[in-house]
Amino acid sequence: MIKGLDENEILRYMGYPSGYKPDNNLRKSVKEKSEILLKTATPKSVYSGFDIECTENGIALIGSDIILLGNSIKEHLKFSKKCVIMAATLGVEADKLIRKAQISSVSDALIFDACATAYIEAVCDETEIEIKEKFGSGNFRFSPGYGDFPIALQKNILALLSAEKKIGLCANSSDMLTPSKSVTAVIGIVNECVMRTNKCELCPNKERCAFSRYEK
Amino acid sequence: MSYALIKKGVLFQDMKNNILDILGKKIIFFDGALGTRIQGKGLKLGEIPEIFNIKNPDVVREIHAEYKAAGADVITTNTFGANRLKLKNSGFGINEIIPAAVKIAKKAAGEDGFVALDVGPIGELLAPMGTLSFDEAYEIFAEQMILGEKCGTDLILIETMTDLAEIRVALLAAKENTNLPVFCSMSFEENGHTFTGCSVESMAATLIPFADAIGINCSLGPKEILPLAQKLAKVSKKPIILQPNAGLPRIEDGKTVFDVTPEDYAEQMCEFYKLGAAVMGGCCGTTPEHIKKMTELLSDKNVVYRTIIPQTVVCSPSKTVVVDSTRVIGERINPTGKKKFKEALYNNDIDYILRQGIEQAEAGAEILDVNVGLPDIDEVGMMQHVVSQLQSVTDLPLQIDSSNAEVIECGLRTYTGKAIVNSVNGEQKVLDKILPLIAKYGACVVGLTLDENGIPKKAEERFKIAEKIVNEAEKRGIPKEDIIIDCLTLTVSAQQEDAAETLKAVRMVKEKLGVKTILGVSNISFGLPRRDIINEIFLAQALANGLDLPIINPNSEGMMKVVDAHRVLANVDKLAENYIEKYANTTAGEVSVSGTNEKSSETKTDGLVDVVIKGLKDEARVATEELLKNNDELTVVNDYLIPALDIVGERYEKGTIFLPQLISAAETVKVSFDVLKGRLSGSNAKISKGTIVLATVKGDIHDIGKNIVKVILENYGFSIIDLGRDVAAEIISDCVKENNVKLLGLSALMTTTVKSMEETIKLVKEVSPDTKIMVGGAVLTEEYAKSINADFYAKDAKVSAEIAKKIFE
Repeated sequence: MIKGLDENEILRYMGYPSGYKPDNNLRKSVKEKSEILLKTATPKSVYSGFDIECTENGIALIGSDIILLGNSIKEHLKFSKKCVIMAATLGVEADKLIRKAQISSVSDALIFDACATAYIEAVCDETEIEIKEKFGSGNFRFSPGYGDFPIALQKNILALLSAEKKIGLCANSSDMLTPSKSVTAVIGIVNECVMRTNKCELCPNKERCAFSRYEK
Repeated sequence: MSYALIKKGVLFQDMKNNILDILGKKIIFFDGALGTRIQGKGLKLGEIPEIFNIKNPDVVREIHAEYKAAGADVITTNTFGANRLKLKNSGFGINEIIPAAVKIAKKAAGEDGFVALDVGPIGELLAPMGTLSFDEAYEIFAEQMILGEKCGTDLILIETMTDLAEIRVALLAAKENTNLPVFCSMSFEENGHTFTGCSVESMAATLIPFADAIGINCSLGPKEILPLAQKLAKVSKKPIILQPNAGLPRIEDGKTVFDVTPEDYAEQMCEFYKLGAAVMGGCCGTTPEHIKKMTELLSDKNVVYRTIIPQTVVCSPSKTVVVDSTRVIGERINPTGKKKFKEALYNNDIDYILRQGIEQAEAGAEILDVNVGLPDIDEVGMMQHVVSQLQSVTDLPLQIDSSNAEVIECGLRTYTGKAIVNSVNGEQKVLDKILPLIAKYGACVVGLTLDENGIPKKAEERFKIAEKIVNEAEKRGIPKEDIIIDCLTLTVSAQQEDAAETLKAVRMVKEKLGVKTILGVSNISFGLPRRDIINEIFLAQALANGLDLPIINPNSEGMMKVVDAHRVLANVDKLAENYIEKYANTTAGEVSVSGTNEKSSETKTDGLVDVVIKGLKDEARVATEELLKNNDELTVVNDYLIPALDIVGERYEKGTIFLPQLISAAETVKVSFDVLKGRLSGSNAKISKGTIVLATVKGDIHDIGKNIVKVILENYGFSIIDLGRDVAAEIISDCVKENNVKLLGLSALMTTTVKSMEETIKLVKEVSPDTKIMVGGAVLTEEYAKSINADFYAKDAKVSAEIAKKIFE
């Protein structure tokens, strides 16, 4: 159960540089909107563990027909024999809240949007902790669209988790997740405690991503 | 009202020809889980169970046969996900899967059993929350159902739906394309709502006109569903279908398991029988044993009689409004007498219209009237668009306000929920044309007490017309509780003696016809000074005479005070709780503050330029008006607003202020612009620097970036045609061409939607080669933009303004 959202994260998603000192009006507004969002959104997550096998094209999930394609995911899972696939969403109400704010004030909408991003990340963090309690230590969340891990796998991943039925998460014809504040990701389960790498370091988009934690 | 009349001497088997003959009389048993059972028999994870109809028919046949042996009257085909989208990469089409599935099921069901074509969700969210259009969804469902009927199924089962919009489309597709009975059910969470926020009450109110049976399945076990079923039993005028899971799912050794045993399941299902359930079966985790125990306990039982108290109900998916006391209908979405609203309609400025909706909701409206009729606009298209968009930003039920049958039908078709239609009148022609639509879509209808001879003077004559409308509606199966009569408010300055007649007619209709009443109130005071005084007193009088649904401006505090006071006096606001909460700390004449309009006292400002730089929206109006005392509008723009924006822009580039501050400043300028536009008698031509079209491309629903760009560009004096999000290439190219637009801005968030950006650019370059195109979005870069043939790459909103300035120099 997430009770509050990290102000610094929200400011970062809004486009403020790290270390920015917000004035009281901004802090108040961020707090107010976080609270509204926490009351309105209906976060849910689902996950499932798979034994895996490295193949030529990518990583095969044993017991299914699905292969996680690409070199990036191979790299992500190179120390793992098992992975956990997860999906999380804030639900349609969060989308509605942002949409509604956009009609009246784009600056309010920007705050709501940033709050929602911070919220879904927090939901994923919580799910990840639960996963690691259950499956043992693991690396980090790697999502379709990172590196050469194709977004086109989005629908397969959702089907694998019965995400539509279990948490109301779908993908549209462009493989965009709906509701939009949602995440799917793969976590590699690793036997020994492998040091957590900064995932932004591995991302091919690191140079141009506005939110990258990679030191440019 | 009884839905459990028993035809004596009729045996189950005799009724094979039509399941509707037994429905609601004897309990009908469905089978149990199919998907979870197939999984236990070799289906791989992520694989589509429907392909087993072809690859492994024996497995499916065996499961069906077990359920038949367990006592199921209806066998459900293995076609839950047999739609063209879900089968896309399976190697099979519906033309192979559905006939195969029906054939297997029919064989198992035998001569005396029924076969239900199973139809599940499409797997994509409908627009406007997703991108799947109503028409596409309709087609997808219709082709499945037409095929199912052709193959000989006895009925259609639409189940496990979580989006009221989607299940409604499915039902329309079924009813308009087949003659089969349709049973339908949705999946709820323990909080009583589906994933998309639909409540049991809204489901019932919305689906009653379309479905033969309505109910709940999946997601929960019988125990958890019971309280929801109790609610449903109180309101559903159609027989109830219940197919719970075998309890709540639990993960054990990586597998989903369900804990309710067949014995417990059967026992818990008995509770549904007592409630008056007409159809029972099982969903995930149930087995033939569960069905067997249930049929053993309940077979040969008649459906228990339910009593339903008729209520006037309107709803959206997540909000049900029962008209059991005064309910305020907001009147502001209406162009009549509103210059700005008319302009918004002509300019396709949907945001302006949506803002009217949001404001009224915040001010306390409980239903919103929607009137978008103007000469020279496509009222049908506008109604469709506004209804759909309004539903994505407010959960208030809507009242579709038009006299045009085509507009009404389009509004009703688009609207998700149960709406009110405003209006019909006593003219036979009008009744014959519009009442069938009301009956088909199941709306409430407003009947105006006028006819081809105009508005009668006397209350008694208006009552007569009301009586005729009620009779005509009932003849067409529209229940009395869905009829609302408008006795018509006339202008008291013109026809002074008529106000009393209106009030008298309201009382007569209410008392003698027993239907709800509605009045547009504000018209009473037209032509008089201090209209508020007359309006408020007339509203109080009308409420005292039995008015249920005042159509008023909820932003008017005085009117809302009358309503609040009336609710206390009418013993509706118990212990005056709401009244006290709202007015306890206020004194006469004081504006009750809802807490949002505080002025930031910590910042001192020095004129409009400073107000803009600091982003003080609330102060921009006064500062602008102050300047206008000694300056004309263009001077304010050129000497104050533009320089202020330049300072803000410069600071943004230097990195001393950031995106949120840039937007805040822009929104502040917008307030100022609104004041200026108002003064320039509605024409903004003088201060517009040129027109730019903006859109988020097809398949993409992420539009905050585009909206930021819009605000910034508007501030630099450009007029924006905002086409919204998920916009097809053809719509964009048509708009660009039609308006002879020099600059087009496109936004896309993901690599997959950049493809549709590329297609859009290609089409626009073909039809309008002189239009320059700028693009932006998270995954784009300068090179990427070039490679898809864009003329400019706008890294951020500020850059887009630079590009626009260059183009329009």
